[in-house]
Amino acid sequence: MITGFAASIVEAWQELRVHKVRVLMSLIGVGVAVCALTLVVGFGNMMQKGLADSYEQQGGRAATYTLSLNPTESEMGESEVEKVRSALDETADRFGISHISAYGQAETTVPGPAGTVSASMYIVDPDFDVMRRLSVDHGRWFTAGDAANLSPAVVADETFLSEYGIDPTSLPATIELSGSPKKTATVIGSVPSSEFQEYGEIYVLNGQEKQFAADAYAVTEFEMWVPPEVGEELSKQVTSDLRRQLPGFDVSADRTDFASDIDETLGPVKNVLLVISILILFMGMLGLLNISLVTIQQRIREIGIRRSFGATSRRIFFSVMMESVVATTIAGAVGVLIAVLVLKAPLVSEFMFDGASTPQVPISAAIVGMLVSVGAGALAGSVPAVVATRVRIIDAIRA
Amino acid sequence: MSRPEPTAAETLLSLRHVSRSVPIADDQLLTILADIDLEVGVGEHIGIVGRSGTGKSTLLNILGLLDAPTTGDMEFAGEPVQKISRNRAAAIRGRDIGFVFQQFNLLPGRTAVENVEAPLMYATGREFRNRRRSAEAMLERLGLGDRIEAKPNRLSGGEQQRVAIARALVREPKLVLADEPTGALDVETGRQVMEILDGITKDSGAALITITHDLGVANMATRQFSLSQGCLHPVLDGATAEALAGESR
Repeated sequence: MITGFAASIVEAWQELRVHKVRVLMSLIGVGVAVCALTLVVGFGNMMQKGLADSYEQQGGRAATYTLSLNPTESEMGESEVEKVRSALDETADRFGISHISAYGQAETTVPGPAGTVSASMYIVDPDFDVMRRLSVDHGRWFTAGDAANLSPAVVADETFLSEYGIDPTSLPATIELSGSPKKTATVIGSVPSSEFQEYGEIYVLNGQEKQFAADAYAVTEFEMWVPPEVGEELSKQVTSDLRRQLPGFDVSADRTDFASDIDETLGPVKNVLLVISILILFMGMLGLLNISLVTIQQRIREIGIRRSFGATSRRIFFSVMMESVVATTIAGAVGVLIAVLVLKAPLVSEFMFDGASTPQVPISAAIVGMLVSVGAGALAGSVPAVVATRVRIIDAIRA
Repeated sequence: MSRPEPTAAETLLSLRHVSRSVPIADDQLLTILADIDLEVGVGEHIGIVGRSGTGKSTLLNILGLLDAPTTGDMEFAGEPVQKISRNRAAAIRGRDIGFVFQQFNLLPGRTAVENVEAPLMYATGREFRNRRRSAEAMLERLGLGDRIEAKPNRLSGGEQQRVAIARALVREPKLVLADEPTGALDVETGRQVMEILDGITKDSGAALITITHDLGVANMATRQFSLSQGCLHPVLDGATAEALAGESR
């Protein structure tokens, strides 16, 4: 059995070697088709990944639920803030929620060396960077210990740092804050700027926001990142638990990430491209099948000779099919290689993702390409293989 | 018809009342071979002569298990083979029967050694693993040691037929069937090829059945038969023109 398989591979390779020009011509179509299919799968996955990254930076990862905790009969004072913090800690412990963060927004200005610098301020907790896929280019993100610093910690984007006149590579750096008496904050890290932001952005820890903007309201919204499969049920239980702990608060939880939008956005495009690729693949297979069928008629004598050596019908079938499979596998490998090179080309990354995000070429695209190559070879090879087994030995030898 | 006795002690192949007919138009049957009796001993050399259209190739196909008789009994190495499956026939053919064809039938585009190792692709175990070595050794034995990488289109007719002989013998078969082995060669080359074929089959202990219309080739055999109108007749005094015409009894 193993010998038969090995011998079929050897025979297939010899056949391909002997008829390399014919094989090459017949396989161009298959190679192009596999390349196209791999490109579609690869582009699709990369676009999906790029879009997912972008969506996750904007709305959180799947599944992110935003908890709104508003006191019904009073303002969010210090005692309410403390109650909320304590309730959230207890709930997170109870349900094993590992990532939870405040999420508040306010506008602020800071006096810079060259004038006032305006910025959008995000009030968050240390888990926020993981929950929103924020990558710190220089310096570091918040740690729990930063809450105790007398000089509050700030993570700023490149736009803010540029406007303020700070070189990101020189972090940490001190910035002056508005208000009297004079206060300072420490910029501990920098993140890339959002694409369409008018102002720079800064991130501050929940509880320290008033040092940056005296009129900033205490945060009433908190995000939690939970497994999507249990998210809905968990959000109900969390809501119920928080209502129990926070009487006098209006508690609600809504899913706010954009994961479900990705399929809606990319689905139709991917489907159209996939159909086009399958059509190309089908045409490539038809070309291969056509040439294989013509060739098998020219090889009848050879098949007869092999039968005289003792080749069984099964062996002839397998050998002829393996020729096709080996050939399309090689063509597929070349097609996949070309597709990967195209996907990794800086020009393509620039065109597809504006150079802002360069997702890795998905391994699934290469695997799909190779599997399709083998499958196309087996399908296109099976027809001439059946024809080959039906050849009468005596007629074949005399052909 | 008298049954010819084998000269060798042990019978390798026997045909008893074998016939072969094929359907033609109007539901009629055309009898190609009729009531063939033949016994071939181990290591024996048989020559069968006959003119074109007398059924020589059909007989060779039946002897080589490429075709099955319509009626009659046939044994190969003691095993009844007249009604065996195609896979079993292929197994016996691969292991025990070698073919030498008139047109050499070398695989195009393959070198001499690749052609000779081709039958070993259907072998198993050590025989398969050592195929290249065995093929080279066989080509050396046939005086083609310096031509092992040559492709058929670079070989003379005689060399091509020697490659074909090497291919037929590389699995050390019990029976070699040669169909007009000198038909595509000039007289001198044909004689040399037949001497090689006769000698090498003798050395290896294989039986050789040569089907030919060349009386000289037929007379190299230890026993001769003539095939005429589908019937096989022993030729007792060597193959002659009369025997070829089917007039010798």
